[in-house]
Parts: sequence; structure tokens; C-alpha cells
Amino acid sequence: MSSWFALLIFPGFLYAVPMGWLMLWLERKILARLQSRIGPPFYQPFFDFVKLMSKEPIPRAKGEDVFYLLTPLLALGATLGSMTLLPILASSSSAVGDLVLFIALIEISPIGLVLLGFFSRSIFGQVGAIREATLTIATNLPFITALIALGYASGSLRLSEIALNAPSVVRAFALLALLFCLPIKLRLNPFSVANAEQEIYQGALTELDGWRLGLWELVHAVEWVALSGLIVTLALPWRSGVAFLDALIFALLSLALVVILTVVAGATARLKLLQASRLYWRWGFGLALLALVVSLFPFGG
Amino acid sequence: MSIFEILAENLRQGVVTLRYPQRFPPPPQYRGLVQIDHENCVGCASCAQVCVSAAIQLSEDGKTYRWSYEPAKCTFCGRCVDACPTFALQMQADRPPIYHRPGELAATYTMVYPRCEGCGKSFKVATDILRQRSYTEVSPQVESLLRLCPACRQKEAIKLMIEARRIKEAAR
Repeated sequence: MSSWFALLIFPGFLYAVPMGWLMLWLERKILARLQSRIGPPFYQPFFDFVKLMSKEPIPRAKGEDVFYLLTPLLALGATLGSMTLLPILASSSSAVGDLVLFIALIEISPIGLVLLGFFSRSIFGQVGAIREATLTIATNLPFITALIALGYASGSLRLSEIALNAPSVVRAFALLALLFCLPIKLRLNPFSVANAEQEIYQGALTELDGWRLGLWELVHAVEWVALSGLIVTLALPWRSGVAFLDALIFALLSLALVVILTVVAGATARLKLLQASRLYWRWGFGLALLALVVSLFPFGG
Repeated sequence: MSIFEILAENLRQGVVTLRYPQRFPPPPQYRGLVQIDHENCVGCASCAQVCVSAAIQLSEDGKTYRWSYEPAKCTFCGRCVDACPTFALQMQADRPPIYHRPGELAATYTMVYPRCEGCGKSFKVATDILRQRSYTEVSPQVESLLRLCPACRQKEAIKLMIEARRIKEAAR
């Protein structure tokens, strides 16, 4: 399987974008039903995107527009790139150290958001950027520690080998820690501190309009697919070998993850920045550390 | 009751909202589109004076006046209704219909001023409500005075007063 196929078709652009929209819809629909509302039809995120892209934006200086165009495109490319590294199929090409590359690529979008927040010169954008940066540090500590534990326990930094060979005890602890990191990386309740819409509008995205916002919505959709995809691929210790079946299982499990995250988001209220960071430094990191400690012992490995 | 029980209860209860073209009826005191009652309007422009969003505008050229209302600008604050001395304005108790561009619901009303029976000049009309307020009892004499323009009315009223005094003195 060539990397171009992976980037553009599966699990890249052609899969990740519609799937991302489907996840955004599922999130909104489930939340609506939990609150006794009808919720949007399944094509709503697509319509939102089309609407945003076709809107006449507020004119800005040419130099600013270059930034507004390049940051989301870079984030989109990087997130799609991280998708291609996921060992979804048995035939997925896997390079040495692709775990490190994955971590690097998945972090482009938060960095872009932080830059954007400061660049927009809006007080809400700046507060959003500061929160995003603080939380990125807080959440990456358990996130990366858990991935290191998985890598160490399976003796490899290849995602495909980690997925197939990681010992189950380490895998369980590490996946719990990774799952714990998802709400913050996807900016969901109770960790939707960086985009707290009732307090700071949309955080870093406050000043964006039209296509500038539309592109970031697209990045967010793909982020959903990539991050839930990471959990699902690392949780499944086997591949059927039939490409279609593996892809289907991957898609369905990803959607199931969306359901879980949404129910948690619907049942919780937003925490403060300090509370959220403390939770990650203490419990998230504790869990990841546990996985790391277990991986050092022979019974874990 | 834990939050999960509440969510489960919400799921059991099912959907309580409606899909868009369907809507719940508005409350009885709902402030909808402003409507003018042509019969009562005297063209005093109080409504245009108090309208914060300039949705109501009045223009006159001496012979007619034009009352125009643009719902796309209206904030539905209801101050025009409060300000109207002749109760010519009302607000619909229903939501405005769906419209797609500004100006689609705009309403205008042009009133031609009546002509004075004495001099033939156009003048602002006094409606029934205003007559009731100003004269409490509208006699046929007042009625005939009100068909004149203010200048002619003044002359006519003075004539009537002199006439009345003359009759009084003759009687004495």
C-alpha cells in the first residue's frame, strides 16, 4: 500500500474527512438526544463547512490571510499524515519510529491554534491560546508517557508492532491513560477549557470567519478521526487480514469511542484550567506512570 | 438523582423540540410585526420619533404623508405602540413570516391629507380618537370646524365667538 494511497484515500483524506463530519454529527446528535432535543441531520457538518467556505469573509491584510490559510492547511496535512501512520490494515506500511512521527504530527494542530490565538490579537483568542498551551503541556505528559510505556513494553517504536505485540496489562493501563487524554485533545467537556464558548467565545478561533473558520472546523473533524483512530488501532491486538473487514471494524470502534466521549461530555460540566491541569498531572500521569512501571517488569512484558 | 439518571430520563422522555418549519405557538404577549390602523393614524410622527432602529420612517410633502415600516430593521421593542397617541399601532401576537432578504416585508402607507373646505389647502386630519380626547363631546358645530384647516378653523371659531357674543348682547 503506497503512502499516497494512505494519505489521499484510506485512512487519509477520502476516509478521514467524511468520517470526521460523521463523528462531529454523532457528537451533536447524541448530545441533543441526551438533552431531549432533535439534533441536526447527519449532513449538517458538511453543510456547515460549505456555508462557511462560501461566506464572504471580513477583508484582512494580505499577509494575515497567508497565515490564516497556511496554519489550518499545515494542521490538516499533519493530522492527515498522522492518520496514514495508523496500522489499521494488516498490510499497513510501517516505518521505524513512526510512533515519534505520529506524536509530532498530531501536535501540529494545537501549536497552530496557539499561534492563531496570539496572532488574532483578540483578548479571547489570547486567553484561548494560553489555555490551549497550558493544557497541551498538561495532557501530553500522560499521553507521551503512556506511548513510551507501550513502546518499551513491546520493544519497538513502530505503531504496527506496538498494536500487535504490546502486553495486555501495560496496554490496558496505557490505553486508559490515552483515553483520558482524548477529551482535552478534542476540547470536549469537562476539559473544554481552551474553547470555553460561554466564557471566551471560541478561544483561539474567536476572530475567525468564513473560510478561515471552515478550514479549522475541518482540521477539528480530522483530529477526531486521528485521535480516536489511535486508541482503536492500539487497542486491537489482531488484524483479520481482510482489508475491508479491518477498515470496517476500525470505523465502527471509532464511532463507539465517539459515543463514549460524548456521553461523558454530556454528563459533565467544564472544569477550571487549574482543576483540569491538576487532574492530568496527577491522575493521568499516575495512570501512565503505572503503565510504564508495569512495562519494566517481566510479568507486564 | 445523578446526572446519568437525568440523561437516561431525557432519553426515555424522547424529543421535545420540533423540526424547523414547525414551531410552538408564541406566548399571548408576543411582540411581532407592527401594524398600522389607517383609520386612526394622524401622521404625528411620534412613532418615527421614538423608533430607535429607524424602522419606522415618516415623510410628508404637504399634501400627503408616507408611513413606512421595515421589519428587517425593527427590534420589536414596542416603543412606537406606547408612543402612539391615537392607538393606531399594534403588534401582531404572532411571529413574522420567514423572509429571505431585507425589504421583503416592508410596508408603506400613503395618506392623502384632506383639503380644507374653506381655503382648499391640505391639512393634517384629526381622527375620531383625537376628537374624543380634545373635545370630549363632538357637536355638529365642532364637526364642521374640523373639516377646515387650522388657519380657517381659527378664523371660523373667532367668527362664531363674535356671533355668540352679539346674540347674547342682543338678548340682554
